[in-house]
Amino acid sequence: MTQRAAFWNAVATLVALGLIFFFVDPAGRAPDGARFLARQHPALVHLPIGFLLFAGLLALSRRWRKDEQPGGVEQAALLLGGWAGVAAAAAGSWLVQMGGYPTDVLFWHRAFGFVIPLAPAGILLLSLENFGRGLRTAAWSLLAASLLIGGHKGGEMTHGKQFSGEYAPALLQPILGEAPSLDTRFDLSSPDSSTVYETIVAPIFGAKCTSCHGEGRRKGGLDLTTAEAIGTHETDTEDDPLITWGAPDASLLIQRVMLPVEHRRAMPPLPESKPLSHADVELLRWWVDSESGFDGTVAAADMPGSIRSILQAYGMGEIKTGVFALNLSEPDTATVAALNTPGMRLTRVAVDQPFLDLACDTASCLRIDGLEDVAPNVISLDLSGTDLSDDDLALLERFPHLTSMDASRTALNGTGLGALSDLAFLTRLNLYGTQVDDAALDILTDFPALEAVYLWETNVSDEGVARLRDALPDAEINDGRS
Amino acid sequence: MSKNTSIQDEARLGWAHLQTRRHFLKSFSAGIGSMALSSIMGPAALDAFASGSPLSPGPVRLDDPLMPKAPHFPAKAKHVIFLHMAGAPSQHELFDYKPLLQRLDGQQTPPSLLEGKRFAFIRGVPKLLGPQATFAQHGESGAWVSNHLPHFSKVVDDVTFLKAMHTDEFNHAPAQLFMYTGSPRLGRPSLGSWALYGLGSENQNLPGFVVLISGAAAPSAGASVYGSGFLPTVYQGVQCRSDGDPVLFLSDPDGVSRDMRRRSIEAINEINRQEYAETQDPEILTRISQYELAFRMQMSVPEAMDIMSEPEAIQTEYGIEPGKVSFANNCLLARRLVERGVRFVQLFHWGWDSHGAGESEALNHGFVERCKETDQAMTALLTDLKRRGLLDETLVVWGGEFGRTPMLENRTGQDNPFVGRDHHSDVYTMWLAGAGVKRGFSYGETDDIGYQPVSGRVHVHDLQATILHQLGFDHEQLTFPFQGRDFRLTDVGGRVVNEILT
Repeated sequence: MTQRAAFWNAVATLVALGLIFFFVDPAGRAPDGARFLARQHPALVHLPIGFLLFAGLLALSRRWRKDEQPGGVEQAALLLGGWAGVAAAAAGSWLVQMGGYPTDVLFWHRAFGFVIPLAPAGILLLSLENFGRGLRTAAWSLLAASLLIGGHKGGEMTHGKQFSGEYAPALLQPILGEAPSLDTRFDLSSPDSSTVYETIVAPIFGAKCTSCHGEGRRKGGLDLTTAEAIGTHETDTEDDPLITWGAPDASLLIQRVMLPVEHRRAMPPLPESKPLSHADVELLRWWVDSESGFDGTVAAADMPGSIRSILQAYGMGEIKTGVFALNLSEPDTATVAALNTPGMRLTRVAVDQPFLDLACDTASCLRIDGLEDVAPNVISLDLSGTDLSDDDLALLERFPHLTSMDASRTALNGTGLGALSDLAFLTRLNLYGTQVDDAALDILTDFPALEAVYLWETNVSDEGVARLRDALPDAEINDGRS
Repeated sequence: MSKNTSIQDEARLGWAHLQTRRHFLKSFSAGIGSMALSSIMGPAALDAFASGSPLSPGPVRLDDPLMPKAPHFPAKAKHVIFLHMAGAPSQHELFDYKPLLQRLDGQQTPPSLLEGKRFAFIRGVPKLLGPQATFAQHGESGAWVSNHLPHFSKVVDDVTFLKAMHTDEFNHAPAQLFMYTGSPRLGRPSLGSWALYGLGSENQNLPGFVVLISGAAAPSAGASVYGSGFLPTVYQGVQCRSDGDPVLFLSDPDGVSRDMRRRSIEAINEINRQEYAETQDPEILTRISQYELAFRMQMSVPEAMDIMSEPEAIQTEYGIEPGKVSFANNCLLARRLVERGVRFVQLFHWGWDSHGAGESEALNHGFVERCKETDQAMTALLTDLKRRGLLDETLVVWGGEFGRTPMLENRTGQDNPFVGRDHHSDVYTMWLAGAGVKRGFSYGETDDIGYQPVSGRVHVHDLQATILHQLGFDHEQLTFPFQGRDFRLTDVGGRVVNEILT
C-alpha cells in the first residue's frame, strides 16, 4: 500500500463516519430498508474486533522482530477492520433510531464506536508515513481502549451493568465497581443501633434521587442529601409538606413517588432516571408512617409484616424484641422433662429457643422443687382456674421474664399484685373472673409495660377502669362492658 | 370360659399364625427378602420424621403422638376456630359493597367480562345482579357490612377482611378439599391434622381436633375435609355433636360398667401392643392411644360439651337452641373447647349455596335465614373470646370455599321469584380475627362490580401458610414423608400474608 492510498483511505473513512454521524439523527426514524442491517449491529461489531485484534498481534510480533514496516497482511487486516467498523457504526446508528436504549450508556458506546474505525486508518497512515514510534503507540492504545470501553458499554446496554462483573472474585469486585447485590444494599447487620434514615432511606435517595435533588443541582429547590436539608425543606403553599410524619399520604415526597410513571409530576421522571422499585416505595412510606424521623432505629420502628419481609430479603436477620432479645441459657432438658407431670405442662415456645410456657392445674406447682432452675426461662404462666391466692403471687418474683400471666377464674382479690411490679416484660395480665377491685387497678398503674389487661366479671368499677386507662393509654383494658 | 380369655386365646392364635408366616420370613430368610419386608413393615415414615430436618417440630412419640410439641418459632395462635360457611356465601350481600353493581342491576353482562370464563351453571349471557342488601360503614375502621349482619357489624374493628381471596376450584367438594387439604383431590391431611401433628394437644383428655357440624347437610366433600390423609389417623378431626351423645358410640352400652370398659380396653391394648411388637405398624399405636383417649373422653367430653352449664346470660348472648343442632350451640361449644386446650375447632354450617333455584337457596330467602342463624353467634363468639383474653391466642377464620358471581344465575331462564348467584372462584371475601392478625383492617380490593381482583389477592395456599405461620410454623418446613417425598399442606405454593399481621 502506498502512502497516498493510506491518506485517501483515512479521508474516505472520515467522510463516511461524518456522513453517518451528521445525517443519521438519533431521534429520527430508521428507514425500513436499514432496519434489517440495524439489527445486525450486534453481529457486525465483532468483525472489527477480530480484524483489529489480528492486526494488533501482527504489529506486536513485528515490534519483537524490530521490523518497522507493516506487512501486506497487517495492512489488509487494518483496512478491513476499519471499514467493518464503519459498517458497524452505520448499523448501530440506525439501531439507535429504533429506540429503547439508556441515554447515558449509549453516549459513551457511540463515542468510542466512532473512534474505532478512525484509529486503524490513522495507524496505517502513521506507519507508512514513518511517523515517530510514540505516535503509533498512542494510536494503538487509543484503539485498544476504544474497543474495550465501547464493547463493554455495548454489553452493558444489552445485558445490564452487573453482567460481566457479577461473578468476579470478591477481590476484584471493588475495582470493577459493580452495583452491590441485594443483601448488601442496606447494612442491616445491627438494626438496634442503625437508624431507618441512615440505613435505608439515605441509600435509596442516593441511588435514585440525589443526582437531581443533590447539593449541586437541587432541582425544584429540593436537596435530599442531608437530614437537615430534608427536614427544613419548604414546599409550595398549594402542596402538602414534604414529609408529614405518620401520614404518608399527606406527604409530598410519598405522593410524588406514588404517581403513575406516565404522570408529568411522577418522581423519579422517566425515561432518563432509574425508577423506584415497589420495595423502595414501600420502605419510604414506612419511614414516614412509622414516624422514625432521622434518629429512629430500625429495631424501634413499628414494623408491619410486609416491611419485615422486604427487609429480610435485603439481608436483615430476625429482629428480636422484648424478652426474645435476651440471651438466656438453655433450660435443662432433664429438668423440663421431670417437671412435666400430670397437672403441670412445661413446653418450649419454639424448637430452637430457650423460652418456656408453663400451665398448671393447681397453684401448688409454683412450689415444686426444681422449678426455680428453669423459672427464668418461663415467659408465659397459665394459672387460670386454679386455687391461686394473692399470697402465691410473691412466688412470681422467681419468674423475672414473664410476658403473660393468666390468673383468670381464680380467687385473687388483687392485694398481692404489687409482687408483679418488678416483672419488666409483663405485657399481658388476665384477671377476668377474679375478685380484683379498684384498689388492685391502682397497683397496676405502675406497670408501664402492660399492653392488655382483662377485667371482665371482677369487682372493678367504671371509674377504676377509667383511671387505669388514663395511666396506661396504650394498653387495652378489657372489662367486657364496652 | 370367660370372654376375656377367649380374646387372649384369639390373640395367641393370631400370634401363632404370624409365627408361621412372618416369623419365618423375618428370622430365617437372609438378604433381600428380609430387608424388603422390614422396610415394608417398619414405620418408615415416622422414623424418617423422627430423624428429620433441623426445623422439624420434634419427633412423633410413637407411644404418645399427641404430646405437646414446640413449633418452629414462637406462635401467636395456640388455637384455631375455623367457621366454614359451607356452600359459599355471597360476598356481594355481606362485605364487598359495589354501588356500581347496584346501578347496573338487570343489565346484560358485557361479553368482554365473559370471554374465557366458565361457570358452574351460568350459560349464555347473564344479567348483572345488584346487591340484595343495604350497606353501611361500621366501626372506627369504616368497614362496609350489609344489613344482614347487624350484630357482626359491631365488632368489625376486631377483624381483618380478605377481600380478594381466590381459589382454584369452582365446585363445592373439590373447593372444600382444597381449602382444608391444599389439594382438590382426596388423600391429603387436613389443616387441623397438620396443626395437631405439629403441635400435639394441650389437653390429653379431649380430642385435639374437634369438628362441629350444623345446617341442613354435612360438607359435600365429606369427612375428608377433616381427615388425616397419610398422617397417622390419631391426628384426624373428631366430630362432636351438640345434641345427644356428643361423640357417637362414646358412652358405654347398657350393662357395661365403666370398670368393665376399663378392663376390656386394657386387655385389647395389651393385645395391640403385642401385635405392634410383632408388626411395627404405627397405626396400631394410634389405635391404642385412641382407645385410651376415648376412655378418658367418656369423663371429660360430656363436661366440656355441656353448654347448658353456661350462665343463662351467655346462652342468650349466643342465642343457643337447647336440644337442637345449631350453629349457635356450636359456637359456644367452640369457645368451651378452646378454653380447655383443644387445638383446632372446625365448624361447618351448610346452606349458603345461593343459586336462586329454590327458596332455601335464594339470596332473598335461605341466605337471609343463614345470616340470622350465624350473625349473633359468631359475634358473641368473638366478644366472648376477647373478654376472656382468649382472642389473643385464638385465630378465628370465617369464610366459604369460594365466592359468588356478580351476575344473576337464572337456570331455567323463566320468571323466578328467587334470586341467586353462581359459584365464583376468582374473588371472594373471608375474615380473620385474633392471634396476631391486624384489627379493623381490610386487605385486597376488587373491581367496581366485585368480579375480579384489583390488588391484594390471597390464594387459598397463602391463607393456609398464614394460618400455619400464626401457629408457629414455616409452612415449607412442616412436612411429612409419604410415597417417597416430603408433602406439605401448601403443596408447592403459599405465601404468608404478612400484610395482615401485626
